[in-house]
Order: sequence, then C-alpha cells, then structure tokens
Amino acid sequence: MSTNKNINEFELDELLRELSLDENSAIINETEASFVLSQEYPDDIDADKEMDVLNKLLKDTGNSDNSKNWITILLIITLIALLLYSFLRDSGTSKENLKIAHNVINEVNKKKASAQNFIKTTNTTSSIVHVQQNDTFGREKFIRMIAYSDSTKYSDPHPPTTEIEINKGIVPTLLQKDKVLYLKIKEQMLRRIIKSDKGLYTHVPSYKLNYKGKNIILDAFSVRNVCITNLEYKTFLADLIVQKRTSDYLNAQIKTENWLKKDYNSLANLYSQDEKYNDFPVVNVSLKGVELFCGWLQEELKLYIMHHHLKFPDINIRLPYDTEAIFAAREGYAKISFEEGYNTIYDESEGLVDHAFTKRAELSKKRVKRIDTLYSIFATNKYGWKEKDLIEFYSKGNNYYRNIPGDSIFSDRMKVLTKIGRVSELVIEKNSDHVWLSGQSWKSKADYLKLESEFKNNASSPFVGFRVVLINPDDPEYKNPFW
Amino acid sequence: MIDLVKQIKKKDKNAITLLYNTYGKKLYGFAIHKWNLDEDEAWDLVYKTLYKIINVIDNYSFETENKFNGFVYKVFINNLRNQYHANKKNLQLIELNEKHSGISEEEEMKSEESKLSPQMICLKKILNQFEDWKRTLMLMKAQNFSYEEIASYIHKPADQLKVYYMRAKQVLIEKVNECVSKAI
Repeated sequence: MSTNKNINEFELDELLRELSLDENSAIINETEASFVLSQEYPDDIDADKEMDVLNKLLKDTGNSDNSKNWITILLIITLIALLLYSFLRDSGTSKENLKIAHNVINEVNKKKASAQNFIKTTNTTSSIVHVQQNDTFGREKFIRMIAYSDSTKYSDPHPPTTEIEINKGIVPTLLQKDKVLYLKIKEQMLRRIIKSDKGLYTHVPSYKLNYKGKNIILDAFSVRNVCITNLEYKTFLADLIVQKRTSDYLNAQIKTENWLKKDYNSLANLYSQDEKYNDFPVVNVSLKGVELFCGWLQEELKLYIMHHHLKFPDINIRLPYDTEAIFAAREGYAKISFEEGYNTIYDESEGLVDHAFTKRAELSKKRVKRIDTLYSIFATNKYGWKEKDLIEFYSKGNNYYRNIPGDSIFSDRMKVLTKIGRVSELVIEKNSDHVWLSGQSWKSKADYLKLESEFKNNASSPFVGFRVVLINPDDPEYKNPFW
Repeated sequence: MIDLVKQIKKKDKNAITLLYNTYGKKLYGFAIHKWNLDEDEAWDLVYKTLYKIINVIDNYSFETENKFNGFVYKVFINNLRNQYHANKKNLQLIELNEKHSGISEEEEMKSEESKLSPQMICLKKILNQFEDWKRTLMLMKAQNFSYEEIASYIHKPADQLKVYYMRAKQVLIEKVNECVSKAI
C-alpha cells in the first residue's frame, strides 16, 4: 500500500488485521486469548506433520530417546569416575586433589543455600553436588558433578579459599540454529560499520584538546554511541566456537560467576543468557576478552570487505583512550553522567581535564537533561544495589520496548536499553597502563575505588562493560598535517 | 500456581505433550483457518511458540489459567506478527522487483516498528472513537471470525452484527480516506 492514497475494502481489512496483531502483541489480552483457545477449529491436521513437530519439540527440549541414551552414558562415566576416585583415595596418591575438591564443595555449599540452581544429595559417606547453570547462550544446560568422601579426613582448620569455577574449561555446544543466528548478527554488526551507521557510530573529527594541562592534537576517530551489548558479545563468542578457537573462547568467556559472588543468583542465569537482556551492555568480561573482541571485529571486517570486494579502508578497532573519551564528552559527541561527587576521568581532581571542561560538561548536562527523558535513568549508579532492586530497574526497559528484544542489531532499542543497564566502561589512559572504569558518576572516590578493587580482583565485574572506537588511518583528518 | 503450569514446568515428555495437546492444536487451527497461513508456516509458528514457552516458563508465575492462556496467546501473536510482516515483505519485494534491496535491516525494522502509515494512524484514531464492542467487532471480523463466533464473544445478536459491520466498514473507509487526504 502506498503511503498517501485512498483505501478500499480489501485494504481496510488488511489494516484491521495488522492493527489486531499490533495490539495483541503489545499486551496480554486474557479474554481474547481464552476466546480464541476455546473455539473449535476443523480437525484437518496431518498426523505425520503433527508427530514431527511434537518429536522436534521433545528433542529440542532434551526429552528425546537419544538424550536418554546420553544420560545413561553420562551416568556410566560418572560411576567409573567415582570408582577410580575411590581407588585413588585409598591409595593416598591424590590427597591434594581431594583437598581442592573438598574446598570447592565447601564454597559451593555456602552458595547453595541461596542459589536455587544448586542441588545437593548427601549420605553418610559421600556427597554429590550437581551444579546446574545456563550456558552463555542460554539454550543448553550442563551439569557438573563433584564428589568427595568422608570430610573428616580433611580437617584442615584453615583450608585455602577456592573460587567457584562453574564455567572454567567448558565450551558450550552450538546448535545449528545458533550458528545461523549468530552468523546473521555478525553480518549485521559488520554492515553497520561499513555503512558508518549513525545510530551506532559517531565520527569525531581531528581537533585540539587540553589534556593534563597541555594542548594536544587528537586524531579523528569514530566512537560507538552505545556499549557493546550482550547479543554482540555472544555473537563474538559463538564465532570463536565456530572457528574452534577454544583457548580464545576460554579467555573471553563471560564470567557469570561474578554475579554469584555478589549473591545475584537470578541474574547469574539471566543477564547474559536471556534474550530480554540482549541489548543490555555486556558485563563480566576481562580486559583480555575485550581485546580479543576488538581484534576479532577488526579481522572479521577485513574478511567481509575482501569477500564482498568492497572499497573500504582497513579500520583499527580498540578500546577508547581517555583523551578520546574526554574530547567526545566535551564536544557533545558522547553523553556522560556528570553529577556531584566524583567523575573519574572527567573529574578535575584527577588532573586530566581543566575547569573549562567542567563548565562545558555542566552546560552539556543541562541540554541533555532537557532533551533526554532517560537522563536520570542513565545517570543512576547502580553499584552495590540489591539484586531485587536491580532487576526491577532493568525491567523498566520493558516499558520502553514491550516486545522481547529480537535477535537483531537495532540501534534505537540498543540506545534505550544500554541506558537502563548503564555500567562503567573500560577506558585506557594514553601512554600509561592505567585502565579507568569510566562513565559513571560516584558519590566519592572511595566508592569508585571499591569497584576498581573488585575489578582488579576478579579481572571483570558485573558493573563494567565497554565500547569501542574505530580508527581509519586513511582518513585525511587522521593525521594533523602540522603535527 | 495452577496445576497446568506446574506440570509444564517439569519439562519432561508428559509436560511437553500436555502443552502441545492443550495449545498446539488450537493455535494451529487458528493460524490455518483465521489467518490463512499454509500448513508449514502454521506448524512453524506452533513449534516456535511452544518452544519459547518451555524455555521461559521458569521466569514466570501465573495465578490463573486465563493468565497463562493470555501469555501463550501473546507469544503466538508475536510470532504470527513476524510471519505476517515477513510474508507481506516478500510479496512487496516481488511486486516492486526488489526496489527495497538497498534498505538496511534497521530501516526495514524502523518501518515495521515505528513508522505507521497515514492510513493506519487515521484508522486507529477513528476506531478509538467507536464503542468497545463495535471496535472489537471490526478487529475480529478482520481475523475471519464468523458473526456467530463474535456474537458469543461480545454478547450481541449475530444478525445485528452483520448489519452493523457492513455499515461501519463503509463509514471507516470514508473517514479514513478523508483523514488521510487532510493529512497530506
């Protein structure tokens, strides 16, 4: 139907059909649902096709006969492992390993009380702990079983603390449909870069900047408007699995156990896995993982350009420098939350910016507050919140996008949901090893240091994500001629 | 929590079969007979809906069966809507000889998600002025429900509905066209 013409009877029907779909997909209409489901429809179902669908459902939800066979095999292997374990224990050769197992059990037991996904079976001589968690892609589940025997044998009063290691060393299996999905998302991510999609990337021209009290010239760059999202990072992880880059996968994997350490037991199974969080910023990733992501995106971009015979320059992709973050904020290319208290790299006390920056940032904030209804949400620092409050806050996203985020790169939706899930971001201090967790405003520097310490201890945090910058060395503005 | 949901949350063979028997057949019939989908499309929607329900059911609790019905129906309608748009897009692509090939996914999504046609804006505006039962009649008739079926839903005599529907349709066409011409 063209946009501006009279409609006829047929087109009115089409519009009404479309409207009924739009309305019923946005709200839960119990009355209409019950009406539709209570109707009698002609019984013309093809029995073979019906059986196919039912079998497929059973298979995909892990209820097929095939899966039963696998469970049997798994049980046999477990039994053999237990016998072997018992033999080694009696021979006294694996005492150290047993201690580690014992410590793991203790840690797991502590967490078990509050975590619904931990199930424990105990008898007088041995314990088996089944640790069950959704994998990164939220589709497959795996079970890890750890067994130990009489705990009185290991009565070390000060056992060394052992981390709960749920995902370590395990690479999830990708189903064919996952591979197809993530390949599609990868292509969308690459095309966004090639098309210089303004929804996701902003070009910042070369200019001068007062940094650490000196005037410097900043090369041109393109900055991501929003953090890298869960969906994008999962696409990267899926591609590592497809490329059989196991070691890189293990370095880059999302450390969901960080949630558990803070007793965020629901989010541990939801935030990275559930598709309703697809467009929230990815968190719990290490600096190493982030570097691998940047390298992967850069390499995949090159391959895509080559494969499609495109005329496009080689782009470097990396984390932003503090100079770039400061300039982008000063010139209004990137929004920052700039509140009373402590503002990391944007705080004069750190000596990176001068008072002129502060005045400019205050002006930008006034403008942003006027035009962006989500500013207060964006500026809310959620570090240290209770899980319940955090989930409630995240659920505000559903008020803006009631449909569950689809599996696609859609910048309008990403802009809203990354604001609601706003976290600190990794920023590298230029010519230094210092990594800032920037972008959030803090009540005091002491509060910020808690996050920094947590990030250092775990090499990642549920409150730290990242965005990237794109550098085009062929950009005439990239090198200032007088520099 | 209702027994049905408790059963389904077990996610074993019996639970899946129960879910399919309770909802699968009905949704298939609805897709085929009210939305004119072909068999494969309808089965695909049924599969996607039930698979989704099984995957997400642990995240929800339902006080009544009606609430669960509403949830299942919403998931199904979302899938149906996607299918409907995909079919429509394919049709347009064929008609326009791939004139849209240069449009990015995002632009396509925007057109689907946020850009309403002037006709749709006008239709919504005018339809919102209708009484509830009359509005429901127009929307349900467009979904191929018979007057008898609609009559049982909105508690009005079927004969009266037929007369009213024919009149209202003409009124809607005239008013929408008038509204669109003013909007240009």
